[in-house]
Amino acid sequence: MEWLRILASRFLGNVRKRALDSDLDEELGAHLDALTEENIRRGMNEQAARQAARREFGGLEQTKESYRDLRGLPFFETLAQDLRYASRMLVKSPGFTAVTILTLALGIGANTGLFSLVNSVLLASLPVRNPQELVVVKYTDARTQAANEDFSYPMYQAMRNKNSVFANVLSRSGLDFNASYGGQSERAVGEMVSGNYFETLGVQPFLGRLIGPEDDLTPGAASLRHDDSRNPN
Amino acid sequence: MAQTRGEVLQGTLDLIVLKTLEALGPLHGYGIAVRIQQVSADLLKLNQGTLYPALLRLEQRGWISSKWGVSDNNRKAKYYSLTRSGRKQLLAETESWERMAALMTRLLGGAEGA
Repeated sequence: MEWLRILASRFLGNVRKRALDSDLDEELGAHLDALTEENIRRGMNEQAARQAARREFGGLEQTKESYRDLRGLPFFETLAQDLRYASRMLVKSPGFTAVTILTLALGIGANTGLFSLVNSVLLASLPVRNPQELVVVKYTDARTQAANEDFSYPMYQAMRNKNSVFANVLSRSGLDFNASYGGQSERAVGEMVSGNYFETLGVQPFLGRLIGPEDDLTPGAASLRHDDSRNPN
Repeated sequence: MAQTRGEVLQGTLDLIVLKTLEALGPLHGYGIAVRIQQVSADLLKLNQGTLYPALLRLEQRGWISSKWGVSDNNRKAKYYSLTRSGRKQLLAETESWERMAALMTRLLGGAEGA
């Protein structure tokens, strides 16, 4: 509890600075006066007596300084001083201030932008049920040594039917469509997926139903992404 | 050699002040300084100003308390007095000082086969 008492005393010292300063001045002044009087009594003249008193007392300003350091919270005092000084200097040179702020703004902006990108691409997990369980199957071409992740559909079917390693095997292929509605045509970025695609990823539809394994038998079903389906056909 | 004025050993000023207040009761800073000079027969070199930070430190620890009063020659003066926990602290520090002093005496005397 001792530190609490010391902290409280120091905090009060910070707040009641002026009153305490004059208290200290008075106390030290009385001490010096008493020393001087004593010296006069010993036969010195007043000036010599005062000088001798000063000598016996030691550095008056040092004493006050270390007294104040003990009394207040020097860390916060110097911090506040520095902040005041910094803001004064910034106001004094607006050109420098503007360049500094602009530099900081650009720096922070660029970093934030880059981080958002990295965050969505590398760090954020996919919005599916167990993203950490997803793997991509690849093979290396024996002849060209090139890594490849393209398989023929029969090959995929074989892998899915003989699978004993994974919970499920799905296939996907990027494909651009020609989407037309209301007499207008538009290029739509999409994917061709196997029927078990959504079931395997564990994604729920916002509206209606998703493509299911039964669609493998009669191809032609489509699922729209939410932000696409906001456009009425 | 015996005439050299010794510096106040680090950490001993607190003990000296506590002991002075115990012996004489409430005192102002000047009174403490005078008393220390008298008792040490001027062998101790004390910058009297260093007393005040020490007094503040002791007060912050709760070992002494201070009150404004009037001195013998009718002046306003701040009087310091020992508190109860200060008394306890004085006992503890005296004990540890005596242990230390005895140890040093034994160590330094050992060479003469005392």
